[in-house]
Order: sequence, then structure tokens, then C-alpha cells
Amino acid sequence: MRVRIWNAYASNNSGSYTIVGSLPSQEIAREVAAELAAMIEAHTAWLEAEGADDVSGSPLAAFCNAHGLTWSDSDAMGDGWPEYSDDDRPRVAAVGSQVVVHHEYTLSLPSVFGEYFYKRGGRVQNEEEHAHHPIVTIATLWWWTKEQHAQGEIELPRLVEAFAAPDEVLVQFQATTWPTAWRVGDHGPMLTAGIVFANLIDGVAALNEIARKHGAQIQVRLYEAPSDEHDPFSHLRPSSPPPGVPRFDLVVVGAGDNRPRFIAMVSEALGLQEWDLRQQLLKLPCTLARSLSAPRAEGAAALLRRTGAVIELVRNDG
Amino acid sequence: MAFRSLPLDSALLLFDRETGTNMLFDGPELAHLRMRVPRSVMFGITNKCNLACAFCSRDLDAESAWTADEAFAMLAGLADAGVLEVAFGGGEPLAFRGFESLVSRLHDETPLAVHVTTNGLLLTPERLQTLRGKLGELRLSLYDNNAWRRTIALLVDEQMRFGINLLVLPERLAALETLVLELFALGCRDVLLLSYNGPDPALHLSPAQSADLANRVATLHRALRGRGRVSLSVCWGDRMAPVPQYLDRQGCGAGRDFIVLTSDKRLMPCSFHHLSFPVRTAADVLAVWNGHAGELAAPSTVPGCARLADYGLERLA
Repeated sequence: MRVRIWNAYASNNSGSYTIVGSLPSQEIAREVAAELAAMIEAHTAWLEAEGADDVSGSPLAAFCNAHGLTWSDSDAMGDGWPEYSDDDRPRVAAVGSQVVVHHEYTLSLPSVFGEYFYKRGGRVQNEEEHAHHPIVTIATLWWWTKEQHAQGEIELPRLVEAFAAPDEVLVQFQATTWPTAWRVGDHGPMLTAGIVFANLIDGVAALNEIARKHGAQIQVRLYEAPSDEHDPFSHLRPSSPPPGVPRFDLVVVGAGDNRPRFIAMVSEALGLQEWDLRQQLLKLPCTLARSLSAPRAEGAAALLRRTGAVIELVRNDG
Repeated sequence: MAFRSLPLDSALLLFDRETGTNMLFDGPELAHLRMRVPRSVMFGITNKCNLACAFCSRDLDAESAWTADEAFAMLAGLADAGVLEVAFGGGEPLAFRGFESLVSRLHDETPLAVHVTTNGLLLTPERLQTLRGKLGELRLSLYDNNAWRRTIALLVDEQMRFGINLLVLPERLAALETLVLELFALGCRDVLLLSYNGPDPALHLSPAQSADLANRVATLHRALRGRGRVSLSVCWGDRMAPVPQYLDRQGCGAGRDFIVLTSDKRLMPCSFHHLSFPVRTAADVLAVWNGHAGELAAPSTVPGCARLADYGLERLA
């Protein structure tokens, strides 16, 4: 008899969603955003409590009934609603006369959102279904009437300063991948800016607040970047006018001998995920963060150098 | 170790689910033995997936007809009949509601070895901690868009037993060794190279590329000896003749050694086959396996099948 021994098991083989609606007015956009947010909150809580076996009595079904929208069971659960993230609620923001609905981790969201935009006299401007690369925001801020133009001439430099300021509100929401870039218009007071937000809805809401503060109109265009590796704002660089204070990229040349401590320090200094860091550090030198303000870049570099790492700061004004 | 036995045709297989150890006895003393059940079940429990890969053979819109309880009943019945292993795939099995509970029940209440093939994007430390000790093996599919380095780091950190499923497309061939060596550097010890099965001629390797792959695999086999394993899926057939093979097996075993259960409750000889039979219970499965053996042994019409002349690639050319 022959005996053979081996070790094996049998085995087999085997995004984010964003929709932008353009509504007839800012007032209607705010109203639609509030209605959608309330429905989302109620529907997510209902799913959590009741499960997804029978969704005909769900808040989403009631919303469709109330507004004459197309109802489908599969919209309210499964592929049509987030299930596996820390927060399964899609988020909503009004930006000028637009409404943005987004969830960072879902197969899709119901078509009801787009249908409701049309129902309220608007249209779907863009839909990014099942995106894996970052969602890029291109924001245009401008002053509309002749009277507003005069205000714009005064406000535009302040707006640019707000975008470029090291500790401005936008920095809080900006992802560490590609730094914000901007350009002022040639015809009248206008600013076009490109931003990758770490949190899209908080980011566009902050943009909307900046526009309101400076009396500007705002419109955003959102789309999925074609890749993680290429700068989606090359057409806007170098930023014009340049920021008033210099900015720096944080480049790791050597990670030192204590890799776990270095990774923990980077997480603390820059808020980066350890998983992403491990991947980035496979190939040195690597740029951990781009276009940081001088104080932030120097602070992070000093902290990381304490672990024995070799860190360089490279000027990058965005 | 706790071995379960599975009679084969003129042979006997002993298998331990905790370690994956297989002992195969054959010889004239065992000529009377006959195989009565398939060794393993590939279970496509859902077609739902959080990715949409161009090469995928699944209909992503098809809903799963299984509940967790129905899946458990089916598999417990097959385990009672003698089946040794179940490997969940899909779709993305981790997108099936109640998946961890199902795995846990299967491990605790049946003798089955339970495995899963996943794209890894839904894995978290918490989910892995729930699955640890219950899964025989986790296989991570490597794609361009599933952050596999991050998932491997997680699997290493959580001390999971895992392997990588790597689909070898023409574009991957030139840097195959680099990629496999990187996988080993990251902590992987088991890489399974899969061939593409489907209608897109651009995704199949040409005969020259297949020969090139065989040489590269043989080189990797020598380079990695003692450090881990690089293996080939059964669909490569004799295209990989220069690669050393441990078992002198005949054919791919689809429909005989293993069967596939689909998300719409059908039995297929393999994931890429055109034939399927409706099944509701373990008894249905065994009736199809016994009663339709000839059909289950037929080649698939999908290009890439090792049972087809020229692997069905000539008509694609």
C-alpha cells in the first residue's frame, strides 16, 4: 500500500456612492437636503431595529409613497443601502442650490434620490456609483450681479487667504493625499479650487459656509479620480495666487530601526491609518503628507525624528 | 489530530480539519472501496459583491436564495453523508448577512472544515477575531482595487491561516515573480495561481505565455522551497506540465471530487460550467451527484476549461 501525506484545504475562487442634484434655488436645496436627511435617519434606525426581511413598512417606503416615487424593496436594503460600515447612514449636504448625498462604503444607494431631485424641479448633475478612488471636488465660487462684483473684488483676496491659511477650516477636512489647488478667474472675481476631502459631506458643507461668509455663489462638481497615484489637480497647479506662507511635503527617507514605534508616531502626528502606512513604507523615500503648513510640518518632523527616522521637508506650495 | 475518512475509488483519504493534513492510502488492499460523496463543496452563497471586476463570471444582480438556516441544513446534511469540506465564495461571502454565525455553527455543530474566499474589503479585526479558530483557511483574492497589502497586514497581525488567490492574466506575467516574492515578504506562505475562464480573448494566456508561466512557476517553486507554497488551480490542466506535481491525479475533479452550490440553489460541476441542476436538500445534491455523473464530467462550454480541446481557446482566436 502506498501512503502519501500533504497539507491542503479545498478552496474556491471568487465603494463609495455620490449623487449631486441641482435644484431651482438655494431654499429648495436646503429643504430637500433636510427632508432627505430626516428620511435617511429614520430609515437607517428602522432597518437597525426591524431588520431587512420585510421593508414595505419602512420610512423609505413611506417617503416614496408620500412623494409618488418609484418603490422597490431592493432599494431599501441589501445592495441598495449601506450595511457594513461604522455608520450606515448616507449623509446629505446642501451646497448653494445643489444637494450632495454620499456614503463612503456601499454598493449603491436607491434611485429614489435622483427621482426626488427631478420631482422637486431639479435634475441629477452627477452620480458616482461604486467608486473606489477618491471623490474629487472642484468648487467654483463667484459673485453674480454687478453689485456683487464690487463686493467680490474686495472678498476674493480674503477668500484666497481663507483657502491658503495654514489652519483654515478646510484643512481639517482635507485628505492627506493631494493638496488643495486653486486659481482665480480671468473674467471678474471668481475662484476655482480642487480639493480631496477626507470627509466629503463635512468638507462640502465647510465650503458652503465659506462661500456664505464671503457672500459668494458656489457650485461643486464631484467625480471619481481616475487613480490614487496621479494628481487630479494638475490643471490647477501651481496654485495662483500662491499661499502667503510656505508649505511643505513631509518625506520619509528612512523609517529607523523601530518600525512599530514610528508607525504609531505617524498615526498620532498625522492621523494616518496604520494599514495605509505599512503599505506606503514598503518603498522609501515616500511622501507621507503634502503641502502642510510650516508649523505643522516642522512639528510632525520633530516628533518622527525622535524615533530615529530620517525626515525631510520639501517645499510644496500646492 | 482528529481524522475523518473518505472512501475514494480504490483508495482511502484521511483528513484533519484543524491542520489541513491529508493522508491518502491506495493499493490492491483497498481495491474494493468506492467514492460515495464528493470530497468538498464550493458554496457561492451570495452573488452580492462590493467589487465589480471585469473578469467575474457572476451575475451580480442575482439575489441569494439561501437563508443562513437553509445553508446550515444543507451543509450539515452533506457532512452527515461524508463530505469533508465547504469553501464559501461568491460573490463576496462576507456580504452575506449572518455569515460569521453560519461559520461558527458549522464549525461547532458539524465535522466540516470551513473555508472562505474573500476580496478582504469587509474584513475588520473584530470580524477576524470572530472567525478565528472556526475557519480552516481564508483565501484572499488579489485584485488591482482591493487594498490587498492592507488586508495581508491585518491577516498577519490577527494570526489568521490564509493564502492568496492570484488570477494570472497576460499583463501580470512579466512581474509575476516580483509580486509573489512581495507576497511572501509580507507574510503570505501560500499562493494559488488561477487561470482565467471566460469569453474575453485578451485575458487568456497564449500557448507561449502558458509555457512561460510554467517555467516561472517551476523557478518560484525552487526559490521558495521550504518557505511556502505556490500552487496551480485545476483549470490549468496540462498547460503547466513542467511544474512538479505531487499527486498523479487525472482530470480536474469538477463534479466528482468537488461540486459547486450556487446562490440560486443549483448544483454545478464547477463555477464556470454551463450545466446546473436545481437542488433543495442534501439528498437532492447526492441524487444529482450519483445520477448525473456523466453530465457532471462533461466539459464546460466556457473558454478556459481544461476538459475542452485546446481549452476552448482556438475558437476565441
